[in-house]
Amino acid sequence: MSTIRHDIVIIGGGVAGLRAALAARDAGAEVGLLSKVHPIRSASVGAQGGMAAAMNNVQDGDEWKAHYEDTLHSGAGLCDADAVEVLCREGPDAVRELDAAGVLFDRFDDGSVAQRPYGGHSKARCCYSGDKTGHSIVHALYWQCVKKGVHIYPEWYVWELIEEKGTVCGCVALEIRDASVHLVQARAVVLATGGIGQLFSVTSNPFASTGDGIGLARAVGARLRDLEMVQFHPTGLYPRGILITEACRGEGGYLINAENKRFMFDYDPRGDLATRDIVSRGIQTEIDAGRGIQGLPCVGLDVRHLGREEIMKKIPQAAQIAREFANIDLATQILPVSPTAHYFMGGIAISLNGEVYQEGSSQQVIPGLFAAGECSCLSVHGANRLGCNSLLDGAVFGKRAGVSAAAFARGSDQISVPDVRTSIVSEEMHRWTRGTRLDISSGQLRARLQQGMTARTGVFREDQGLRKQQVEIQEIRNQMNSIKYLPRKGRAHQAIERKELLHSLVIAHMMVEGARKRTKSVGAHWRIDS
Amino acid sequence: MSTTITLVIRRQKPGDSGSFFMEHQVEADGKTVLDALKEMRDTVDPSLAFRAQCKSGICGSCALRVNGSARLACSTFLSAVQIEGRVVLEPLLNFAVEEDLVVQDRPFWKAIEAIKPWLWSDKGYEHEAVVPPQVKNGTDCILCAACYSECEVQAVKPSGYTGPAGFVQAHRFVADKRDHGGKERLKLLETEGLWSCAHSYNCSEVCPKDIDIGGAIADLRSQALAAGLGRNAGGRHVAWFTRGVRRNGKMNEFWTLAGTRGWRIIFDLPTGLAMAIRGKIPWPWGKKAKSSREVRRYFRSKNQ
Ligand SMILES: Cc1cc2nc3c(=O)[nH]c(=O)nc-3n(C[C@H](O)[C@H](O)[C@H](O)COP(=O)(O)OP(=O)(O)OC[C@H]3O[C@@H](n4cnc5c(N)ncnc54)[C@H](O)[C@@H]3O)c2cc1C
Ligand code: SF4
Ligand code: FES
Repeated sequence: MSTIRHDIVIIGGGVAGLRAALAARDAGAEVGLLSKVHPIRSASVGAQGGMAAAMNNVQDGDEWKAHYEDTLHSGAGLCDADAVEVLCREGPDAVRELDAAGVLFDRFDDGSVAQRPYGGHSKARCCYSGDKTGHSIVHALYWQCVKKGVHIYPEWYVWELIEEKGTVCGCVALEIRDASVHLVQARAVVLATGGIGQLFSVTSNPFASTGDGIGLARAVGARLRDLEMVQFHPTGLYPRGILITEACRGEGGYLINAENKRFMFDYDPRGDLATRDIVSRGIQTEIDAGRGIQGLPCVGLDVRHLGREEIMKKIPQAAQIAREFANIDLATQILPVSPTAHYFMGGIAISLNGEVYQEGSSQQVIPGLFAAGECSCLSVHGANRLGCNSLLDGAVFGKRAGVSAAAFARGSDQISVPDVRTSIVSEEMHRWTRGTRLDISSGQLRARLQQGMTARTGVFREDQGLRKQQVEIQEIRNQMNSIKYLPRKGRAHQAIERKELLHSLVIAHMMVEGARKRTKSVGAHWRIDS
Repeated sequence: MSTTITLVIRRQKPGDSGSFFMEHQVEADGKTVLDALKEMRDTVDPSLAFRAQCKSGICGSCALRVNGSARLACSTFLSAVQIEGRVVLEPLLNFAVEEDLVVQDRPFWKAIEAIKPWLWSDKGYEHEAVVPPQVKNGTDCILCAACYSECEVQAVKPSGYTGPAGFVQAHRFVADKRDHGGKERLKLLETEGLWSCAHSYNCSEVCPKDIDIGGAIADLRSQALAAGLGRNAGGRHVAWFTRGVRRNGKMNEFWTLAGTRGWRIIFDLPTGLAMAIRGKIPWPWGKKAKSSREVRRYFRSKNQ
């Protein structure tokens, strides 16, 4: 047990957390970054397609206003227009800053950053690094943080936030390696803990996307919003849910059903490049109508006409995933795909500067607490996020959160916290190892939660199923007391899996409640009984 | 039809120096190594420790040894690697084991950090910059450390050796036209073992991203020579290395080292001896190559 002090503590090492850390550091703050996985293993590293910004490098007359309108349109009336304006205006600078930080965006022959078309965007404004954009961004930002002296704590799990007199002033964290408990004090804390894909059985998200930050924020009285808004990406590799980038369709690929028909034009004039919610529903409708390929609950993604050379140049990672995980050669075969839980539009309600609002308020903030990235909700994505807008969200609002956290920290004293919480947390963990029946594991309970969520809170929703899921969630919660737990000195993963499940259950409960309350379909939230 | 295989997992309690094997039967069809590990943790033993995140071969968390060679758990299918119905899972080599399949990865990150893998430039954003294709080779690296596990130089734990992944990162920056490191970077690489690589090419063979690591190292070396570096050690090393290969159809690290370092080889003896004892380099008077495997590996590196 030890006490650690930093001006700013960032929780999360994805694009939002790293960008926030750099911004706070550049503003002169002394920064610690805690992440339950090594930052380079974060979900952000898997982002493929790219990052949108109206740089107009193809000279198709793109400007921030057009990006703004596309984003609002896709968000189906749920976006905050001011926030979208900030996102789109600051987009081009965000790309330039990342480039200067070392990110290798692909370039056109004239040397300018290359841009390509993307689903739902009216202009070619997606900047990319092949189909490894997130990888390129995370690696560059991580090493910049190392270079600039951000203190990085890889594989540290934040257990709870600490609040004194209504101000957040640190957290209790576990060093995963040996399960030791530490008190981390800070003048300001930034949550950048990413998404919630692990609430679902079919997801593109990594194991870490369990919604911890949202649970942590709620525990200190933060306002959460739009919790029913989950984006299902149309093309998850069947049956694993691994993301097959939208760039496959951006580059000319299309979807077909069992009758070999390009069905998407039946649903939308933009066909395969309609927004994700529409394409996912199109696919799900085909599957539900029994037109899935090979009699399976999936449709086919066809890119064969691009030819091997184009495929290897434009979508090499998709080709590798197809080969490795499905033994399929994209140049000669059709890939089986189905919708996969991908992105959380809802989350912790924040201001344009990343301050976290108090429960029931859109003015009062929780002093000392900030949030950015997928765990937060402004909302810039509304009811349906546009592809390539979320890396941008992380970069733009991550930076803003870092800057305002640094400003807040300058103006505040370090509140010192009595070290009682660490022993309470140790005690809690210890209690979990005692008196449990060895008949069920966190993993099994999570699988049960996931199956129910995918079946009843997925692409299509209806009240009856949602009600059933509420009961199911309650039952799972009751079963948590009998989780199998083998006491063993060493890594803390057993306690962490259980804590993550608790967070996920809290969010799932509110998600289902929100989905029941919103009886009208909008964007990604689709009620078949409305 | 279902196939059952026996999973054999090397386990080690934290703080213990000894390990033990745990065996378990699993249905193998359509399952990856990671699927099986997850199933084990969820249904058999929740204390089983391993790392994994993306399950799609992009985050680099899950490298371990499968039947002896380093691979990603998430993209390795049991049916493809089983030998007589068995799949043996062990932690990566060249690391201290933290617990079960989890290794203490800190030295790996430190070794990469040593080559300063960030853009050396104070110019800020440049509107026009061209990215030469060979940079892409390095940006594919997911820092999974599979190469580090198989590296024969790493095996003797030398200090000041960044290792294969470090060279791959360095190569990416040297090729990046925006980077101003130039000769300084190459000089730094000399202190990080640019001339120590023993050309086993094990790294290139296991890299899950098919990165031509050997090629990257060779290219860095020729760039260093072209920049007038390696005069004392490097140039002679390459010359002796080539001579050794031509004469015996096999390189002999001893004579390569001797020719390179001259009388200073005395300083290399501890490392060299350690490598020889572990069978990593031949004794000075070794026989000619039984197979031409090394030679083929050598010429696979097109740049040398
Ligand atoms: C496969 C895939 C492809 C995508 N492709 C694109 C794309 O092409 N374009 C685009 O714009 N967006 C894309 N997205 C979405 C985008 O990548 C994410 O929304 C974004 O990267 C989220 O970044 P983040 O920084 O908010 O969170 P994450 O990258 O999820 O990082 C969360 C961090 O929080 C840490 N953390 C969580 N809980 C705790 C805790 N309790 N204690 C300590 N640390 C904790 C984790 O360790 C992790 O470092 C994609 C997403 C996926 C999964
Ligand atoms: S070079 Fe290959 S094996 Fe080595 S760390 Fe990078 S991806 Fe892994
Ligand atoms: S889990 Fe990410 S590479 Fe295997």
